[in-house]
Amino acid sequence: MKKTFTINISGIVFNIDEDAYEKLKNYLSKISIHFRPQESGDEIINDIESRIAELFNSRITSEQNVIDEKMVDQIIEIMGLPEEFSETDENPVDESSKSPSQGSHVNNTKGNKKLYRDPDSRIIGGVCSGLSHYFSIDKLLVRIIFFILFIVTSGVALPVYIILWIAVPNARTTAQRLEMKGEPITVDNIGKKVKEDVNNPSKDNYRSYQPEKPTKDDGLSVIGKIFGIILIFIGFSSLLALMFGLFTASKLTGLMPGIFPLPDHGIMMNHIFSESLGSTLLLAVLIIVGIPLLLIIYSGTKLLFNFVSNSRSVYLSALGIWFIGIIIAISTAVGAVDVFSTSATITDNKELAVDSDTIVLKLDEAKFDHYSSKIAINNMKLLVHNNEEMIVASPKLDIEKNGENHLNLLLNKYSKGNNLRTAKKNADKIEYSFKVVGNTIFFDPYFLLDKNEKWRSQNLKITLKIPEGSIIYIDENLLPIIHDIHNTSNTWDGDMAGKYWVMKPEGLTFLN
Amino acid sequence: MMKAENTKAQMRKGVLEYCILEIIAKKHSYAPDIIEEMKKAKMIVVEGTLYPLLTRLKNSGMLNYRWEESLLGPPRKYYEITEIGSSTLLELRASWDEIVTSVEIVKNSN
Repeated sequence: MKKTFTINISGIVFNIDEDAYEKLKNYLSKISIHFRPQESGDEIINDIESRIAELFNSRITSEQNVIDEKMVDQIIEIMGLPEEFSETDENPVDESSKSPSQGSHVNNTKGNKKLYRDPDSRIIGGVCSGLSHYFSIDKLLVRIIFFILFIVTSGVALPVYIILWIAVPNARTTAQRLEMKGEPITVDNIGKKVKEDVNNPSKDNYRSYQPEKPTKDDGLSVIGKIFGIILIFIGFSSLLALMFGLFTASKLTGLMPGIFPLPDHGIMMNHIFSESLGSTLLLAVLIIVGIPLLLIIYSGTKLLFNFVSNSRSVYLSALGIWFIGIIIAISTAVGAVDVFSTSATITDNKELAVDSDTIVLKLDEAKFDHYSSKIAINNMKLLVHNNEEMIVASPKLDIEKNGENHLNLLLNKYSKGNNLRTAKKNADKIEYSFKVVGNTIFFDPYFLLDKNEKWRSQNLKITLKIPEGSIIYIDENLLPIIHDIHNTSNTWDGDMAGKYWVMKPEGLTFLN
Repeated sequence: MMKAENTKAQMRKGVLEYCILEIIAKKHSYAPDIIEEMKKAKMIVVEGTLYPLLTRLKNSGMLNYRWEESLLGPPRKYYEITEIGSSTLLELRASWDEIVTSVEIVKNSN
């Protein structure tokens, strides 16, 4: 009767008896010590281990499924001892100088810790346990720190973890595991480590060959499961909150017309941003916040149920989608600002015929009486009438002297756009009406934007040009729209209403 | 006796890389295939000798490798020669011929 061990060479699991194990361990340590100091030493050792795994695999049969000493001897004969390799070394060394040079190498690596991911006690990628070895602190502490960071930054710490995961190598070989823990790479240590691996097999050993092997159920995995439940809980509740938030936002901004009735006060957003912008922005938010939450839930379920999956590709694709979300958000924001980049003015010149020397200027108050308005931005108001919304704003009225002998009304329409053409087009869509009845000009209190037009800082400046000698009467109700009318007495706009004024060569003058 | 062994090893070492390039230049090869050829030619006895040489040639840009799945075990590295490798091989062939000629001349002069 012989005791057997389970070992993992290059990801393949073998059963090996005690004597053969001692021999193989010794041989691999020699190989490791021989090649490690060389350039690309790790790669050479991996190549040799792969080949050894392949050779063993070809010798295992259903009758002979345990590696015995004879098999190890055969493999050593095929692969050769390090002493036999000397002819291919970079710097062939004499027997006398051999041991000191190797000794110094061992000393160099002593205490020289390297950052690796720890596959033996990993929960997700082994990053935290790797960091814990590197800084010599408890891995639970590192995990808690990461977890808190994660919550505090609402998921922004996730890319940090993933980047570490990609960038930091996994400690695959025994020597790498020793480096990870800062232990010197010596024959003794490697032997000790290999023995530990045998007694305490890591999860990776069973990935490809013995998936039915029950996983160990020690304290660590209990903590892992509790941690998993916490992750799932946090993930789900945050996701719910996110969904609710976005739902409310879309309701407030009216991004889902038809689902919700139009609120009484109308929806200002729709008149500022294009229809697609809001929903694109919501999508971006959903991706940027939702992806980390989904990953939290995923990690939680993984911890809880301990299933085998290709986490790396899951996390990598999640990272990809997350970056797409960021790009969508940025480009949408840039696009939203861009529509205000250029401004343009167009002028309509209208000649008026009034049958009197005395002209009365009045506001057509009745026109907007039955409209309701609750929201205003700058000078713009959102009116709702018969469940139809419209954007209106007060024009600014000025009065100037006309060099020619007739009455002119100039409508200066101003707007912004993402280029000159659209800015002009937007300006052209400003609708303003007034009417002349007898000797009275009735001005509308507001100009309107075409139903499909967005708010682009539109402005309307009305200039009434009157010939010399004309007399005007500014009605009290015109106050909201008159703006900085020049006159010879420097009278304030407010005091100009309710009075008669005459246009003299030097300007508008108060008429007693 | 030891002296002769040592010299023989030194001589082999010089031409090992040349031989490996010759073998890989013929077809993409997996390390044991190369060993097979080398054993036939009595150039190498143990496989362990080959891996550092392959890695060194790969690091100096003369070889490339790709991974191939294997039913027998871990994925295998199949090596192929690069352009640098091919031009180096041409030079090595020329200098090998020179050496052989030189040795012949030295041996036969008298």
